[in-house]
Amino acid sequence: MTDATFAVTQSKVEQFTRQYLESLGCSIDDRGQEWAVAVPEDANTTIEPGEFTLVRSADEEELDEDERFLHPESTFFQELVEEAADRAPIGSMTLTADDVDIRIPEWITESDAEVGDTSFTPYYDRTALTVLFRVSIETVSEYQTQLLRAISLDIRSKEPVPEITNEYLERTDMGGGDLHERTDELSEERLHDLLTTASEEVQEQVQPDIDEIHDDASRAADVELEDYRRLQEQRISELEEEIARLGDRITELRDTLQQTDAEADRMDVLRRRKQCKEEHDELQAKVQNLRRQREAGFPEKQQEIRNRHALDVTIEPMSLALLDYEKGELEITIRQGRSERTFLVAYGSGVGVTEAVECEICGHELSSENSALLENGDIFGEGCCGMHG
Amino acid sequence: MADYDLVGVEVTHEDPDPLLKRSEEKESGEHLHTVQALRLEAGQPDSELRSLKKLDDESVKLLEHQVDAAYRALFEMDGKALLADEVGLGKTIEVGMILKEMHYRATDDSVLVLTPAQLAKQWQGELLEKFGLDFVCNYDDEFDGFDSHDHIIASIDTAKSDRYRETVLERDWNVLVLDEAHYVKNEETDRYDLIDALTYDYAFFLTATPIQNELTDLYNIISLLRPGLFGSRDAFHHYFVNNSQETLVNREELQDRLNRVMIRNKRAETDIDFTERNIDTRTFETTCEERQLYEAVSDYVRGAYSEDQGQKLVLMLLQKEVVSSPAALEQTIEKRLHEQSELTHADELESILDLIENIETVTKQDRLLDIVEEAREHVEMGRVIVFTQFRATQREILDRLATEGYTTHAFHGGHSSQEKEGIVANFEEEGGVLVSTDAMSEGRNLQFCNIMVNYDLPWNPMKVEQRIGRIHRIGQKREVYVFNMALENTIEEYVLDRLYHKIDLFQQTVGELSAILTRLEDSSTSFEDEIFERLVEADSEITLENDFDAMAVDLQEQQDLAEKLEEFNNGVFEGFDLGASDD
Repeated sequence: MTDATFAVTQSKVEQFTRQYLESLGCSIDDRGQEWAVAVPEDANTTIEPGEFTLVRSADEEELDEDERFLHPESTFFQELVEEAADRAPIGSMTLTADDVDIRIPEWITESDAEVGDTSFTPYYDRTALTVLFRVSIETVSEYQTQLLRAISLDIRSKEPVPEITNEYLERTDMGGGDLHERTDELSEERLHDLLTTASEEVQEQVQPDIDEIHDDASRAADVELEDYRRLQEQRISELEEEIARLGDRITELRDTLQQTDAEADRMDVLRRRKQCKEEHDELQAKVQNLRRQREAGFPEKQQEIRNRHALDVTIEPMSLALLDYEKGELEITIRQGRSERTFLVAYGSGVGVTEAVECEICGHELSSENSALLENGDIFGEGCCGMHG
Repeated sequence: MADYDLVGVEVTHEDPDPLLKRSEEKESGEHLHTVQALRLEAGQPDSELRSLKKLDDESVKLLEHQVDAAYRALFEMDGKALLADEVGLGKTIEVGMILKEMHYRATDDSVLVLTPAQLAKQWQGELLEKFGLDFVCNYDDEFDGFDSHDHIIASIDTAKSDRYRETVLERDWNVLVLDEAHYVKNEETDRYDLIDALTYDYAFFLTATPIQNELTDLYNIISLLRPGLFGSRDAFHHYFVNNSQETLVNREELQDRLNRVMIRNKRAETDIDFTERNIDTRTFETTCEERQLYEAVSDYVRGAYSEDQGQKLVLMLLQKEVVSSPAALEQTIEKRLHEQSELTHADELESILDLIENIETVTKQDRLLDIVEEAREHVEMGRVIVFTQFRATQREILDRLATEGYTTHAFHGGHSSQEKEGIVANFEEEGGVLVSTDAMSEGRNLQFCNIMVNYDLPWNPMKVEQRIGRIHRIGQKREVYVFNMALENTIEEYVLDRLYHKIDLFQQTVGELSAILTRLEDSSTSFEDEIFERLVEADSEITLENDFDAMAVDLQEQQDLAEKLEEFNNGVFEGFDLGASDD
């Protein structure tokens, strides 16, 4: 699974806009900082037919009625991208030996050995499904995170084929465009099944991103809960103060009552004492409730805060492509000094060498870190047996 | 494991059916546009300087035109730009910002910054202190060649030398930064050849004066960055330069093309505004004992250097220390006597120690009290920063000030960075006098103080300006007062009077100074060496005066040239709008 996003620069924006407009049949007259664009009547687009000018600048100067800005944030570009993104989400291509350069494994490219002849013999065809998934992670305390991830699965084994993803992303980069469409289709059911597997695979692989945000969100919830706890503590001590004040007042009233003789005055004091007592009891009940909640850890509030901070992760397939590739054997000759060796390895077009090659002395796998040395026709690892001979 | 409970996570796998239903007829190439559009949509937040929020506000204050230049260079010019702001607008900061952003995006696996020799260490310091970017400099002991480090600052002449050229060219650099890019104006030089042969993905060239002699200089520099932008040399000449070689023609089209690769902010259009800087240089008569000591040390230095030039550094040190404080001098001499038992002229050194013993009054210390007392009476919390080059001098000053009842703070390279922060905070809070060595880092925010004293003077003009820059920077709201202290008829007075005042050093910005100093680059000796050589080689006072005057004339000429060049460039680009967008 690979990050499929582009770093959006002005030049990428211009490159895409030009290619897309031209594919719609529009003509562009480049006048330096401005492009004069003509849109034909029958163009299959939401852009109005006729002529307008694209200004390649982000300066917020006044525009004439027939002028539009062209930069990464401009409305025109946003609308253009939105239209194109929805146009043909399903595609296909072939990666046969004729279309793809031979990929020499790193244990050779990183070595001092020279590559002589190479020849690939395809034995059977394979197909991979490459999907772009939009992963959106939402929570209240963070900006929404949106990722675009590409993943390829071999349709027969359902195993990920990362090399195919790389090839696909390379071919769909700006300046790409060498897509050879394939013909046969897969049943919707089969595609549905593969997409489900791919979606799960994406979830697994995007898990570290989710975990990071999850952690931050949990911390944010915890801080909020802590704030709430502090607030309630404060509330409890305020109530306690208020209760004590009312207690004192009740005692005062009791004393007053004892010193009051007149009936009417006594009634008034009694009324006031009753009022105070009611208020006192009411606050007592409140504070007891709060204390109970505190002891239990404010379960309701906790639940409410945690629910609000919970993460919503959505994984949505945005496009898919079927890629045919070939598997077979690669015959490759390497030379170093006066030594030369020709050997066969399992190979896939667009995938590269698919079998591990080992040091002929100690059996360690050859890799970019343990690149090949060739001596007297033997291939061995520079890292594991470099001092040999 | 987190010490808090985790919130819930709900994962929804959207139903793929709506996508599968979209298998309608499509034209070849449409899927490509869809995928590209999806990738562009997802990548949109990328066109912003994400590392901005990672910067420490205390270390660097970014100005709008600098952020804008960094943005344009990275995103609109695809990482190949000529940063040609007028002098003093912070081109180094713009590059720092660019490199920080590239570091943030992990596109800076290998970075080579080429500068004039005199500026290499300053670049290293600024990138580290302001942006937290760690570079190795070719003058560092740990520098092991251009193939051994991934982030290197080097003098361009070291890079092109026979010793290193091959390794420099062997690598594929991610980023090349070329300071004072007018160095490569001439295509028939080794420097041009080097840059032309270098392999890199991104390049940022800096100069305030892209045009040095003739308008084709501009063609050469820009063609290195963007080959083909101006077509052939002849075509550029015919189309954009008038016959007299003095003005550019077809200006609109030229501006359009330059706009794709060159950024030039003008001072008048930025919001840079410095308060006034007042300089008060005070020279003091020495006591008889101090005079005797100065003469004895100067004689010793002259004699020892004529016998063995290999000990230049230590002799230079003694000559600087004698005008700083007897304590600093004493420490170095004792160390020398102690460490080298077979030292020639040991007796001379011993007698210098005796002369130090004789000193009862240290004139500078007494006079410093006048300044700090004035400050205590007139300035908020009496805050003054006193700079000295030597720890021993620093200790003496601190003792004396404390005895006199002043609140004091010491700042030197031996403190941890946390301690340093604490010291600056205490100084702000308690006021009084901060006595600092030149270890005070650039990034420290000391605008709350507006008085500084140069207790002794570095022989390197850049260092003097860096000291002043600690308090006289963007954000300083009050007038700044700089006091220079010097003893009469000493090397210090020569350096001050004949050199620093001649080029009006104390009123120059770092940018203006580098423009002057880098013009001296072709002479192989450093500014400090030049001062020292003149001092030890003069056989009489008259010769010494004449020698210093001659050096001042050279400096003055370079300053005039630098000014003229700037004016000329301003004239050429007059009316060109290559700066930041102002809204």
